[in-house]
Amino acid sequence: MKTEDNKTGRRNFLRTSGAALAGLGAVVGGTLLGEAVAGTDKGNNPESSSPVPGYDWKKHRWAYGIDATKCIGCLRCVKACKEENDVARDANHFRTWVERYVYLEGEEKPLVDSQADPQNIAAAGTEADYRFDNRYKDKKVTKSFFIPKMCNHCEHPACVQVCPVGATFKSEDGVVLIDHEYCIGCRYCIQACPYGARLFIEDMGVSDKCTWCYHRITKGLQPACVEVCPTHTRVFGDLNDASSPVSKFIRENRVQVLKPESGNAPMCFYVGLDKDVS
Amino acid sequence: MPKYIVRLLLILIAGSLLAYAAKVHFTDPSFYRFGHYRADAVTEIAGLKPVIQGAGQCLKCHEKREQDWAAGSHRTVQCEVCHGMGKTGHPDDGVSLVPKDTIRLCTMCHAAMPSRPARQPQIVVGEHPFAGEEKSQCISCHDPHMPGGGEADAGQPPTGPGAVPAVVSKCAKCHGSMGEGHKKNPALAGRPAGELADRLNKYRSGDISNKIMKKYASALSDEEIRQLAEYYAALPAPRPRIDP
Repeated sequence: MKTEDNKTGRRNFLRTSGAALAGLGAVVGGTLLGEAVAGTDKGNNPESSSPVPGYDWKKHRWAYGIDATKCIGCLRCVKACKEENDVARDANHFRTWVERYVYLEGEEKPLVDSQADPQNIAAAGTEADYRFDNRYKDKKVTKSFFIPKMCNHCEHPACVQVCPVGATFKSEDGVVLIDHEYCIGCRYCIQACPYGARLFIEDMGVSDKCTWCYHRITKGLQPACVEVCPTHTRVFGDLNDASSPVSKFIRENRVQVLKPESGNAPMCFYVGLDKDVS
Repeated sequence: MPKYIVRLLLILIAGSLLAYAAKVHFTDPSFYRFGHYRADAVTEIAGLKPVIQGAGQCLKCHEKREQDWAAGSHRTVQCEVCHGMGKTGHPDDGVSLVPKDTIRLCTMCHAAMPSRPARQPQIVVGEHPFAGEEKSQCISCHDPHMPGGGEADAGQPPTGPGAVPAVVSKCAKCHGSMGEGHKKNPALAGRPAGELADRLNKYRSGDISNKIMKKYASALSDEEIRQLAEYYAALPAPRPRIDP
């Protein structure tokens, strides 16, 4: 048995719901229509083939080469990177870094340190400068070398795969970039990277990484680390250009990549790696 | 269809539309333009201003330096590597970029370290140029803009006409790998062999007083002095130096 009041209540409810739905439909329709129109505009605009004015990102395929047999450990690359990209001048934030591997006589495993080692900071005098100390000068060293490291801008980047918000991505020209505006600071990418190449900016609450100096390479310049490297340890260029330094580097050397078993297919190619370098 | 099913469907449709509207509203317009990311982020990153300028910027004012720099083995070393990178305040604020402590600066690359490749020229601080020698600034002997000079690569023995005497590397350290001279160390290349030999003999005997040259000359045999003199005499004389 239903009362008159109840019937009225339901009818009123349905009327209100109907009106609300209609209103919502209008809003959604309007938004979608607007989006569709904007989409058509973009499709017709030739500028939309590349997000960088005056630079066609479909024509380039960037890659990086590191000849570790040439590295003298001067750390000018680290300095240049920090200045160029305004990375925190302390011992915990690096987009690129250099590791020193030292095999002492009779030892099977190497001693590894980087510019962030406290003794090396002491040699530099400040965390804002970078210098390897000479702690092994009186030791019996059987083998030793420097290995510069950085983001490998992988063909199949694990960091991009795990990002839940599309903040990190691979550009059409092969550079793995990060959008600080979209990054929510969950640090999945930092955990996913097999190379430890990512860093976290605490002040902004976002992840950060090497961009191969995207703002330089799109203007025809070299990345800052390559620009200042005095021994041509670091080379950079376009794989689509057979005469580029990196094409020549890969063609003329027996190159390796770090951790090939990780399946990330790095685009930083090394010469002179060693069994313990990973 | 029963009414309650219709209502349920209406609510579901309304909910979906609302969710979709929210997604469209809150997603950046440039998202999905090229993929699952904001295309404008690429534009923003690419729009940053380069900081490291490269040698081209420096040579605009210091064009006289180019000839020396481009000829020496430091031609692979960009100006900013030694003179400072980033916001140095030069030239607008009148900040000088001449490095003061050249021992500290040069040993950044040239201090002997077991990790450095053997072909990198390296010195042991305190033993170079002589053991126990009072520490003097690197630039008192070396010209940082043209070490090694000419086309010769640093760290390699100089090549010249005829046989290269083994001891030549000692002379090259101060007089340049092609004997072109550095700062107050005079050029040897192209000087008459007799004059060079006579000079070395006088340093050795002490007839000409020179502490450093006596040290080196005393270690030379008559035969080595003859070879050195002939070697340097046969090398081409250096071109006139440009000192801005």
